[in-house]
Amino acid sequence: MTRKKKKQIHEIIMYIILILVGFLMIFPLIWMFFASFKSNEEIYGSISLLPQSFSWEAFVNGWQGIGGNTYTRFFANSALLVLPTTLLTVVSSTLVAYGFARFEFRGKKPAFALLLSTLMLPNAILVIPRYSIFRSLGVLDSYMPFYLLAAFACYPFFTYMLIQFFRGIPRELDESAYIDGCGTFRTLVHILLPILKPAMFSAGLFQFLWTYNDYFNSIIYINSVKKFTVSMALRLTMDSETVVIWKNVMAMSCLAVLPVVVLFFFCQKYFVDGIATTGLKG
Amino acid sequence: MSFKRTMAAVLSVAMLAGMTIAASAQEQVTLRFSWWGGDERHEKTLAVIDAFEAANPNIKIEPEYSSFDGYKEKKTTEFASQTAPDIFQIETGSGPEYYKNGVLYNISETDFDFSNFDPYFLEMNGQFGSGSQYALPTGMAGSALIVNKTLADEIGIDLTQPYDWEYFFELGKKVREYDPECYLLSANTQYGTAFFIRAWMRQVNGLPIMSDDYTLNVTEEQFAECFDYIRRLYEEEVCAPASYKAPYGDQDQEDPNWIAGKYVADVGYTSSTNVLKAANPDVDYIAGQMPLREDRKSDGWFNDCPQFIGIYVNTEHPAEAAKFLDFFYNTEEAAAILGTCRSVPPTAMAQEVCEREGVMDALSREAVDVSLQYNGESDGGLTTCAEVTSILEDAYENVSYGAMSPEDAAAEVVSLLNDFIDMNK
Repeated sequence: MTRKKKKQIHEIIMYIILILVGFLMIFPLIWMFFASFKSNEEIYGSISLLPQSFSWEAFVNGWQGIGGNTYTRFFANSALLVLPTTLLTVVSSTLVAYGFARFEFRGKKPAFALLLSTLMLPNAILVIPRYSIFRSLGVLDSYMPFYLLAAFACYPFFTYMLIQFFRGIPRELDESAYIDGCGTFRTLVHILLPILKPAMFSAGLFQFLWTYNDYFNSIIYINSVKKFTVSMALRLTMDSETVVIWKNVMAMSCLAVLPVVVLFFFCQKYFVDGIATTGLKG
Repeated sequence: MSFKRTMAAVLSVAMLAGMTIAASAQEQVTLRFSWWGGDERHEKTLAVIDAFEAANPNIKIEPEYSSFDGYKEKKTTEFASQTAPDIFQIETGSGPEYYKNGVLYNISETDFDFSNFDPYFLEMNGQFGSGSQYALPTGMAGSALIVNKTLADEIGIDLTQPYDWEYFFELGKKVREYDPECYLLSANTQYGTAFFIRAWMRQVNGLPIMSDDYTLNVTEEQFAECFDYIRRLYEEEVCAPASYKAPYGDQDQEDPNWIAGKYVADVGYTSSTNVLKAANPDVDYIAGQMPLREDRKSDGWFNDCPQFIGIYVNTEHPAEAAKFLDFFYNTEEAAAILGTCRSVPPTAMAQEVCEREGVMDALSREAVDVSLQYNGESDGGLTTCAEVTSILEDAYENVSYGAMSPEDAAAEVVSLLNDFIDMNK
């Protein structure tokens, strides 16, 4: 057997394993998709993956939502909540991280310790104090609580992650920029940001995912159903004392995961880059 | 000249402002009303709100509905920062806690008309021993045994006559002999705790497990006896194995064996009859009688409500909130719209309307009727508060999984309950 052939067989085996594992991973999604064509009896009573018949009824009915609030509104709300939040998080976290990583100022160490300690506070502890603050500001039942947190870098995880990336970028780059006449801000924008791109992308992607999927914070800050996001809307119909028409829920869940799945396929490179690289190249 | 002109401008602005104030003295009031539920309850409650707004154009109800997930957490946050909605639905077990924390408005002080309600039912549900109504029961409910009559008849099991707790073992054996795939009871941890621990203890002592003055009314031996009974339920295969039931939580209707009709009866509540029936509509159902001890101090079983609705103590418009509740509870129009979306309605008037309109669910009605014949009293209070409930549920799980002997579990429960008393008293 030639070496080439050996390699080929090796590759085939690898691919078979990868496909099997991949299928296992994606199976719940496939099941969910087909479940949107099944009646409740079929979902519970049969183990067959394929439904007895195909009809888009569940998608149409599910989209109607409840009480005049359709999923058009819920998706628009999600976009309105998630996109600005993600953008603001990336911008604010980058600025704060830049400050911590590159500048010496009085109180830097205690401030950094404070940042790290907030990283360790569980969400449950923050809920009530934050809620009280937002109530005093009069911004409850709107998306402002999310925007404000994002705009003032209140997500220490991302700030910390970006600080680590900054530290990996050699200072010589900044110095040569200064010599060429760049100010601190232009150094950040023109020299450091291109290198930082993978890290910022991964921060943005994670923030997008987490905010999009978040249920608890949304339900705490938002009261009006007309401001509900998709993740909240999906729970609206589920109650232990009501007969849930699962195919409607499944159909809407399929649509709800679509943005995330699409995003993942388009930004795969950044997901992996962001995790694997240290931002230092060449 | 310019002074006069300025003066004129100022005065006319003042006059305009005055007019606006006079116009708003007609008072456009907005009330927030929050509840949890599923599709049906949302649609029907929204329809009642529409009807109310049509009849009262100056009051607008802002609906805030969701599922039960996160509902209690949200209320806790809202109470802490005084932003709770004017009107809200309350979980039965949380009622006493909310009353004690002073977040409920005294409805007796409003113009709400109580005459459609049975006074004793009101006293037991929503007064919390105060003599005034702080919350209104949304319906009638209670523990229930939903029996798959088709299967019970096939095996020759009769649960329509009074019986004692030991009877379950006899029947359980009969079921296992008839078909090794079948079990007598489908019981989950949450409902099982209410059924086999709390109701049992009410029969033994005629008292709740813990009184509201933090007295523990149950001895370690009594707990051990009760836990031994639960151990036997699982060891002698009367109940389906705890590990099998665990993934379904309290959603017994999602258990494939329930859907396939493999259980003779489900341990649950009157309010879950609809979903249980819908999960396997091909067989007949009845509401079974409940087990009774020979030496009982009380029947233990009682009829209470599936939820309350209350008014927030800090509301700015208690009169309007009461007006809405009056419409919600006391008009035939609302009763016809709501039907049984919050269990069998609490007033005779609404029940009649439901019967007449054909929206009354016969099985729910039957289950409620069964629960009405017992003389037990609700143990709502410390016994049903979140911490005590989780202590009891842990014990139920430990025993039903066979992870702990009844004696050890009893010792642990007593010590944990005493810790709870020391911490809170």
